[in-house]
Amino acid sequence: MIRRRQSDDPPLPAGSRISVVTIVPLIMLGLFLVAVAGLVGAALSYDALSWATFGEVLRSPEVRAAIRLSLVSSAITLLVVTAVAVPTGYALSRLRFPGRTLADTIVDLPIVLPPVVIGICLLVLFATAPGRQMERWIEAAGYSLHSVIGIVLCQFFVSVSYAIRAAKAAFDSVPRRLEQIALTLGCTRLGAFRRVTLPLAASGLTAGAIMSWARAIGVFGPLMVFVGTTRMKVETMPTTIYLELSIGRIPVAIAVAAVMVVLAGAALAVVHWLAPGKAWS
Amino acid sequence: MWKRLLWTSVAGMVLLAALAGCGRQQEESPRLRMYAGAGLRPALEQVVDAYEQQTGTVVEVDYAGSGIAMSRAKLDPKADLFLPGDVSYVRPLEKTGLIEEITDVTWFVPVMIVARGNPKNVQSVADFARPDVRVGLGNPDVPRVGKVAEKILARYVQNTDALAENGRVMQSMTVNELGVWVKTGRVDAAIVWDAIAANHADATDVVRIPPEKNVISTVAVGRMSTAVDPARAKGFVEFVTGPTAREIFREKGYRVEAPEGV
Repeated sequence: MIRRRQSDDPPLPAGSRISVVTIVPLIMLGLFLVAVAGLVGAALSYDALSWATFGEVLRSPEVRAAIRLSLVSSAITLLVVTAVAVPTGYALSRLRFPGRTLADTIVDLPIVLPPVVIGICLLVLFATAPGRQMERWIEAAGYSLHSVIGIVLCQFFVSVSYAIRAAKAAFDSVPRRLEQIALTLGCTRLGAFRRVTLPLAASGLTAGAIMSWARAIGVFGPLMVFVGTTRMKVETMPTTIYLELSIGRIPVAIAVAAVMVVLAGAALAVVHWLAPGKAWS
Repeated sequence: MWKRLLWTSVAGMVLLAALAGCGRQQEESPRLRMYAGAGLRPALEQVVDAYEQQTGTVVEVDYAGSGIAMSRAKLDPKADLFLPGDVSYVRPLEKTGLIEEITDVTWFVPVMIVARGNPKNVQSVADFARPDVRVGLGNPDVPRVGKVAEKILARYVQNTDALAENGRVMQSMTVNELGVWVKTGRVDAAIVWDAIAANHADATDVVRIPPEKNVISTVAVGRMSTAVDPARAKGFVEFVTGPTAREIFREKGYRVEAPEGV
């Protein structure tokens, strides 16, 4: 497949050419935006939901703890995911080694697995002898799996594949010739990576990081299986939403969901601001 | 490439059509909808199978923790039957007119389960306060077993909040996860129903809770006023309390006679 550098061809000004290629995508985009607005609007227009509910939600210690835990756990996950995904994506993109196709397939596995299966896998892993030994080490260090550690484990396995996929695509899009030219100009391999490959892949890597962070903060199924739903302890925002909904407090569930959307939206805005035009280019 | 894509799509559509055809056959048979507590699942699934075979009526059961089952019954009352983990979830709906008739089905007696051989030597609920014991409990708001465990725990442990510190308590959405957690070593002990303990007897041991400190649940089925065909719903109530169902319940470790002290 031929990849074009996207920055080489600026988007067509809308209306400059009336054609199927301009009209259909715009209509689709419009329909999609209307559908999303309709969904969100429908939830927010729920009868029993009022500003008072939002006030109550934001003052509730459970919700505050859940917001904090969601942000902390997903931030840690993002760090670990980045540390794993960038080298892994680079290996899949640049290196030739036996079993590469197999590795490529395995990387995709967590994407097709229902997230709850990841919870089951973790549950079984820590029931085996090596798993129990790992847990003893964690406990000897004064921590428990039933804490942010368990949450990060779940979030990591649910989200890491997206980041690896994105990193591989980002490195694939950097022409090898540029790296080779850097090498001929006296760069070391690491220097070429740092000065040429990484900056050119940065937008793709950022997009991948955002995608996987968004996946991570929304994780719920594996948490229910692997760390449980203990309030104030391992309760993340998706857990709160489900718990509140399950005991019939729909307005509270919607309010927490709205808070989550606002937080996620703010995070995306910050990324756009930090890297204008890069994140989603 | 296009050719391959075409063949794949054709094969996919044929498969879909075949699957859709399979699904259609059941459409005509009469149905009952039921909300049920998740702790009943091991036995109720077989009871429902037996009922379907005998009557040809398909029973769709939505299993969840009793708190969830109750809010679903309230929010989407287009159902025929409601069978949560305790009659206390049914009574309020009787007052609002959603439930027309309540019939006792079985009784849940809380017990502790521990890993085979009781490696942490848990002899009483009081041991839950020990710092080396990790405890599995139902979420107090969701399954009935969580609410019950909260009550029992309060009779043994002074400061139940301190228990939750250091991640020693894992709370579940249904009683069934608790058995799994003990089995897989996530927790050292859990409070579950005797029937669920029986279901996990292959890898766990039971430690009884003395009757004077225990909280026994009466499990009753409510016939909903929203039932499409009240006679059919009544028929299921009779079946679930009849000899075939009682035999299945007994076989699965559920009580069919009221235990002492109820």
